[in-house]
Amino acid sequence: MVTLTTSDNETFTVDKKVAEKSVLIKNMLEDVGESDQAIPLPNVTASVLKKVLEWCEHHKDDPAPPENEDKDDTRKRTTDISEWDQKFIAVDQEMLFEIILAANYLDIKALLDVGCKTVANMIKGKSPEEIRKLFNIVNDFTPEEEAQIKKENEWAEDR
Amino acid sequence: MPTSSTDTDLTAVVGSPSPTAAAQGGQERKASSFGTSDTAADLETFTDAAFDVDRMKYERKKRKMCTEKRSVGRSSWLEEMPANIMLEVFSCVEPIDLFKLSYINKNTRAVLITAESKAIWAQARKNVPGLPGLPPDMTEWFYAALLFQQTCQMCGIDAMARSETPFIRMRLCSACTSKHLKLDKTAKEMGLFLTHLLNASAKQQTQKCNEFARRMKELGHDARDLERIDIKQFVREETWDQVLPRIGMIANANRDRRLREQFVARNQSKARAIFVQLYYALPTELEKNSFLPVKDFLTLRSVRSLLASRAPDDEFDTCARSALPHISAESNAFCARMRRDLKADDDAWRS
Repeated sequence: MVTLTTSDNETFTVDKKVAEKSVLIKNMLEDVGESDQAIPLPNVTASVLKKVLEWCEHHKDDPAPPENEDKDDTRKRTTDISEWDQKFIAVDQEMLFEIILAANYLDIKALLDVGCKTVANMIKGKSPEEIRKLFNIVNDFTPEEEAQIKKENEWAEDR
Repeated sequence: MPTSSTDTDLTAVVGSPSPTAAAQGGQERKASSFGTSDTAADLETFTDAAFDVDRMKYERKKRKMCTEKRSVGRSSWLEEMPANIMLEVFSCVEPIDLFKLSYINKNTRAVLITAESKAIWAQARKNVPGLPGLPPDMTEWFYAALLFQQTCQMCGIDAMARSETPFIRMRLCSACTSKHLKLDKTAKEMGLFLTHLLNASAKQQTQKCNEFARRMKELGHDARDLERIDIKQFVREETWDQVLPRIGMIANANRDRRLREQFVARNQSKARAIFVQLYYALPTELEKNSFLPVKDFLTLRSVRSLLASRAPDDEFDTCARSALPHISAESNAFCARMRRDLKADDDAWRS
């Protein structure tokens, strides 16, 4: 078993196998060896870690991803997400963001993928205005600039 | 969460700070802000903002830190993402999405139109199966717009792609096409005629292919047998009578291979079982020691015919059972011959 302490000082005790879905924790355990000491995770809050551990628990028996995956970038990246993961990631945007950041920090590639694919799916097929609205992005183009960039893609009729 | 900071942010989003609103909290705050909005536009901005702000604690924190320039620049968590995560997200979308993202604000645009973003665009193109590579005379951005942006590049109305779009490298609606693309009338007519011809021949070919597949099916071939055969090529050049002998040969070979692969494992394991069975049935050690080698067992006529069996699985066991006496007889004969030869050799050696 491994004990983890969150930024808001909550402790979680989980199976080593579950905790080691995180490459960060796995490396830490390898470095310090077996120890009763809790591992501090100063970048993760309890509510987020709870969610992340739920994911790790469900995926604890998944085979490790092939090492050379990154090199093979000639392939199409699908945005398919398994049904369980879809349900898991159906959270509000704030939580989604926190989960992605946590997966990044804890180095859980597969969970990071799920998060990024989810965001990509939110973006896909939307207009710029819809994307802005969805993510609360402020349109900082002045009307003149906006007209200008539109023109870059259109031929003015009188030209 | 502290309501006071929320209020400050809200008023910032609305753009017209309202002291009354800032002094109140929760639902009350919403009501009073609705009251102080003088125009419909304000109201709309506000409702949108309120809706989003409720879900954006992170953004609120950020805003609180840089109160002075709240209304411009980075404000969404999408933008707060570390660069590697942004790249990961961008590598999952398609070129048209990148194109649209390049319009959302200055930051994203700056990222997506620099030369460093080349890899992002290249990955996005790979995400569209069958998309031809980037033509050397186009930018990624232009290519995405040309192929996927459903907008007339002349007048801006919705426009489907047209057959001449790739040739003139510009997407035009039908009105702009007839207005600006001065097609010679005779050329237009010839074009129509040629399109008609092409369509007709394509239709004919599809019919021929279908007919062909039907006939092959009648001859007992399924689609797997026709794999790696370019039917279109044959159909284009030859008639059925010319094609059949050649395709039939390939299809038969394919079928044979398929059936062989299907049955070979089953037949081999049965033959192995029979071999073992015969061996253990032998009463004496002497006979066991002089049992025929596997290699010879496999050359027995009855074993060969069992190995070549194409009987369906439910009949195969019966076949094997009925073959057993023959196999047994043949192997016994072989062993007897072998022992006789061995004995003759032994006698010759002794004398």
